[in-house]
Amino acid sequence: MRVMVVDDEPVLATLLARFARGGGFEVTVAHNGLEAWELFRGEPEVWDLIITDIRMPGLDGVSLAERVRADRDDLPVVLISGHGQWPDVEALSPAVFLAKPFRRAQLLEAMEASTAAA
Amino acid sequence: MSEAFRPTDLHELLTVMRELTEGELDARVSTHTPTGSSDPLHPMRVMLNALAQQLQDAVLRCAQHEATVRKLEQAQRQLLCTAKLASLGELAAGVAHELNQPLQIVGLSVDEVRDALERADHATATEYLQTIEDQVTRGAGVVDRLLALSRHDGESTRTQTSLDKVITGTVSIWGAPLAALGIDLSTDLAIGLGDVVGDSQELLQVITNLVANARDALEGQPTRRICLRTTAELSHACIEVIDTGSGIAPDDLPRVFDPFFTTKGPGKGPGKDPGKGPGEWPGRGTGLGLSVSHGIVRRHGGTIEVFSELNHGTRVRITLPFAEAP
Repeated sequence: MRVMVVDDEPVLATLLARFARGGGFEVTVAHNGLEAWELFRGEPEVWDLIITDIRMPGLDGVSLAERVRADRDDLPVVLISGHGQWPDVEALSPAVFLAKPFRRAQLLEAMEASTAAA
Repeated sequence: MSEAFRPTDLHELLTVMRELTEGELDARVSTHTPTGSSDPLHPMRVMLNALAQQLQDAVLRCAQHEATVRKLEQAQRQLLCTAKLASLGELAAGVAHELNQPLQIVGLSVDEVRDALERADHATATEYLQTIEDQVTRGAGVVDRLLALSRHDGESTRTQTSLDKVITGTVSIWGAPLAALGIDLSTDLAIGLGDVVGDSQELLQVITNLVANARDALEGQPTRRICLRTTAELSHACIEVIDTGSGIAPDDLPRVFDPFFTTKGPGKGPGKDPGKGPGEWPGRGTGLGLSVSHGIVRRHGGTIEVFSELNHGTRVRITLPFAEAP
């Protein structure tokens, strides 16, 4: 399983990646939406899951998810929000939303739910 | 046919005049002249009634006007209240985001520490404890800046303050870090500018913060100049921070003083520290700098305005009242 972790907060990106690696995933980290989009566009078929923060400069998490979904509507996405506000975007369904601050167990649940839904 | 008027006629006129004076605005005199007789006071009666009518109309219009003003004031209060609530909502979302970032990192780091301790891996545990400590400091910083927004007058120390010293202080803090980024910081100071009454530390905070904003706006610009200018007006000293940076979009301009509003993208903590490595552009803003500055300037009895043109630059203009001559 190949996971992309997208967060503009380097410490958090590292922690998320570390956790996913511990769970046996192969993890690639992107530090903003555009970097993630470039990574995805390079090889759209290799990704099994994207975990992305919503609030990022440039391309935000929701726009990233929309772009990615337009290309691959089967790709599971976990969207993380720091202020508990969720976008009402039909194209994102069945994305899974996760509110900060979450613990590892909740992240794991979200990852499983998103893979089951997609 | 008698041209003389009777005392009772005069009395009637006087009575109506008194009634009008006392606010009985519908009082009128009779203008009827019986057939075959003549009334020398008739034109005066007609004139008095016309005046009374005009007075009554004017008072009515005035009352209507007052009612409209009251309605307008009420609508204005409601609008202000709505704007405040919207601002409060934005503030709450901003605070939530700024505090959730460190909390999130602390939460996940605690799990890492627990795992490391189970493996007796003390080095990793210590590493994550340091991360936790850093994030607690970061969270405390958010709270500090938030509290600065609500600070009251009594807490600052006001003395006769020289703006030249505030500017010199700013230059000594920012000169070298800006030069390392290829930014030219210049001053254009009014000669013999009078003192203002203020808290020099707070004023220094305002100006250094404005310079930090100017620096951020200069990233990637071909011409990188910041000018600090002081001028004297009639009763006010004026300080301007002028940059040749990227400018602020007209849509964003009305919101620049809102707490947590930022065009730099929030989330990474303050980039206001000139003590970073040489030649290093900062992280992004918290959206608190201008709202805190606005609060400080307002508490000093001054004004702060932002003028900006996209791709040409920004000019922030602060006025502060001169101290009374000793």
